[in-house]
Amino acid sequence: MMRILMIEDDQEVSGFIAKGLKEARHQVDIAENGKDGLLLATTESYDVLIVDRMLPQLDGLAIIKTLHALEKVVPTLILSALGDVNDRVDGLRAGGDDYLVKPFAFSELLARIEVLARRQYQQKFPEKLLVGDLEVDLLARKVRRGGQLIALQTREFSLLEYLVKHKNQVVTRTMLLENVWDYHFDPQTNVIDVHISRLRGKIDKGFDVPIIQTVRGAGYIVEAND
Amino acid sequence: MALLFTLLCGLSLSILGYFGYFFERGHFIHGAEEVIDTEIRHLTPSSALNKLPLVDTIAQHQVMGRLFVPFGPNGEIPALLSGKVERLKEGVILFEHPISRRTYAAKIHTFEDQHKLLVGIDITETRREFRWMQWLTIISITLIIIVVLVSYMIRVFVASGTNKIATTAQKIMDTGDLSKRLAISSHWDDFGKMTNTLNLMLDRIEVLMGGLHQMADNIAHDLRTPLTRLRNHIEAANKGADTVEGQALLDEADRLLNTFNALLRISRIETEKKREHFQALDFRTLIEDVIALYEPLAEIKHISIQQRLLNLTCFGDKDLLFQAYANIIDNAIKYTPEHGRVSIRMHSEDEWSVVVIDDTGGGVPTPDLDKIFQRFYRADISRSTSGTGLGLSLVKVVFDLHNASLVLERSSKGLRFITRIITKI
Repeated sequence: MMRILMIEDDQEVSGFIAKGLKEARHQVDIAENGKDGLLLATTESYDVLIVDRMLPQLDGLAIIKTLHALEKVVPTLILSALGDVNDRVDGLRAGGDDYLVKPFAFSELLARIEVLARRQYQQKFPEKLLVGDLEVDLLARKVRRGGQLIALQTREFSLLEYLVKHKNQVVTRTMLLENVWDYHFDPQTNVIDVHISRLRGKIDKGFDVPIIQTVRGAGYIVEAND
Repeated sequence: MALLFTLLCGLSLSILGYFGYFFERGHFIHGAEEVIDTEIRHLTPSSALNKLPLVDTIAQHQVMGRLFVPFGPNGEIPALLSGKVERLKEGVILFEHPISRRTYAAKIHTFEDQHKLLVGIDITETRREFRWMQWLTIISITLIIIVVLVSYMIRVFVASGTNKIATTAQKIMDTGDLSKRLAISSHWDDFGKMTNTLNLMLDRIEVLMGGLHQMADNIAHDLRTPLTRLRNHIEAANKGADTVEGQALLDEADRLLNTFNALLRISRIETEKKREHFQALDFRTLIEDVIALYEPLAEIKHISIQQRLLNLTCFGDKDLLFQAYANIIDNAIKYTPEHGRVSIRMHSEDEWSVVVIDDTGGGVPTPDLDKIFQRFYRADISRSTSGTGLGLSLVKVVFDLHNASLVLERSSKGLRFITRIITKI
C-alpha cells in the first residue's frame, strides 16, 4: 500500500484516478489547488506525488521546486495537457521524476507510480538478476536460461534488463520506449510489440514457462516468486 | 551594385564633359582657321600688295573684322605682334590688338615673292562665347560630381536603413520571436514612417499569433481533459466486462487522441520554432538507433534493410530528428511489399550531412509528390493501412525547423527521400 497525494483541479479526473488507485488498494489524498497541495505535501509524508502542471493559485512546477528547496523530496509524477517534448524536459528539469501527458490510460499511470514508489527503496540492483531459471548478468551483459547462454542484441538485452529490474510490476510500452531508447518520441507503429515478440522468441523458445507475460490493455510484466 | 552604378554614371558623365570641352575648343579653332584660309585663297600677291601699302602703321588694315598686315620687306615682324602671342595650333596664332584691345586669330601667309602677310580675323566675340562655354562645362561637371556624391550618400543611407529592416525581419523569421521590433532611427523622414508602420504591423501580428497560440494551448487543455474523461469512462465501463466492443471503443478513442495530439504537436513545432534544445549530435548513432528500432518490423515482412552509414555529425534537436527519421523509415517499411528492400545511405556534401532513404514500395504518382507532406494525405493504396496520415507532415515541419532540406523523388522502384542537415553550427 502506498500513500499518494494528488494535486489536480479537475474533479472528474481526480475522482477517476482516486477510484482506480483505491481499487489497487492505495491510500489517496486529493488537493484541488496548488496552495493546499503544497501545504499537505510539506506537513504529511507521502510515497508518491501526482501533480498537475496547470493549477489554480500555484502551478505544478513551482510546487515541485519549492519541495526540492525544502529538501522534502518525494518521487513525483507530473500530469499535464502540455505534451511537447520541451515541456516534458522542463518538467523533469524542475525536479519531477516522470511525466505523463493527458489523456492517459489509468493502467499507464498506475504502472508508472508503482515503479516510482519502489525506485526509492531499490536504488541498487545486484550484479545478477534472477527470474525463475533465467539469469541476467548486468555486469557482463549476458543472459542464461537453464544454464544455457542466450545471445541477445544490445536493445534486446536492455529491454529484458528493464523488465527484469521491474519484475512483478506492469511495464507499459511507452515506459519501455522512453527508458530503453532514450528518445522522446511517438512511434507510429507498435514497434515495441514486435521487439518483445522477438525477445520472447529467444528466451522462451523451448521452455514451458514464458518469462514475459502480456497484460491486456496495459503492457508487459515479468512475474517471479522471490 | 548600386555603388558600381553610381561610379559608372559619374565616370561616363565626366568623360562626356571632358569631350564636350575639347570638341568645342577644337571646333572654335578650326572655324577661325577656315575663315583665314578663305581670305588667303582670295588674295593674289598683286592685289594684296596693291591694296595694302607697305607701311607699318597700325589700325589701318582692318576691313570688316579682318586684319591684313604685311611684314617688312626683309621679313621684319609687324609691331602689332610685339605683345603677347599665343600659339593656338600649328600655324595659327592668337594675339591682342594693342590699340583696339580686340583679340585676333591669325596666320602668316608667305607669297611666292617671299613677302609675308599676316591675315587675321577678329574672334573677340567667339572667344568670349568659348570662355562662357568653358565655364558652363566646368559648372556642369561640378554639378554632376555633386549629384553623384549626393546619390551615393542617399544610397548608403537607404541601404543601411533597408538592411537594418531586412536583418530584423530575417531574425524574426528565423527565431519566430515576434517580440522583436525594428529600431526607429528618425521620426521625420520616410524611413521613420515606414519602420513605424512595420512595427505596428508586427504588434498586430504578435497579438494575433498570441491569440492563436493561446487558443492552441486552450484547446490542448480544454479539449484534452474531457477527452481524458471520455477515455476514462470507457475504460471504467469496460473494466468488469472486458468485452471486445469495449476494447474497440478504447482503441477508437486512442486513435482519435493520437490524431489530435499529432496535429497539435505539428502546429506547436511550426509556430514556436523552439531551438533551445539544439545540440551537436552523433548522426550515425541516431540513424543506427532508428534502424535498430524498426529492423524487427522489416524482418516480419522479410524486407532487407541495406545500410551504408558514416561517422557524420549534425546539429539539431535529438528527439525531433529521431522522430522524423523514425517516421520516414516507418513509412518506407509500411509501403514496401514483402521481400522488398529499404536502403539507408549516408554521405556528406560540403557542410551537409546527407541521408538518402530508398524503398521499393512503388512510390506515389508524380502529381501527388508535393501532396505527400500535406496533413492527412494518404496515397490511395494506403487507405487500408493504419496511421494518422500526419507522419510525413511532422517530418516536414521538423526539417523546416532545422532549415534542412528534404527532397522527395520517384526512383525506379519506389520513393526516395533525400535529407540534408547542417553538420555543425
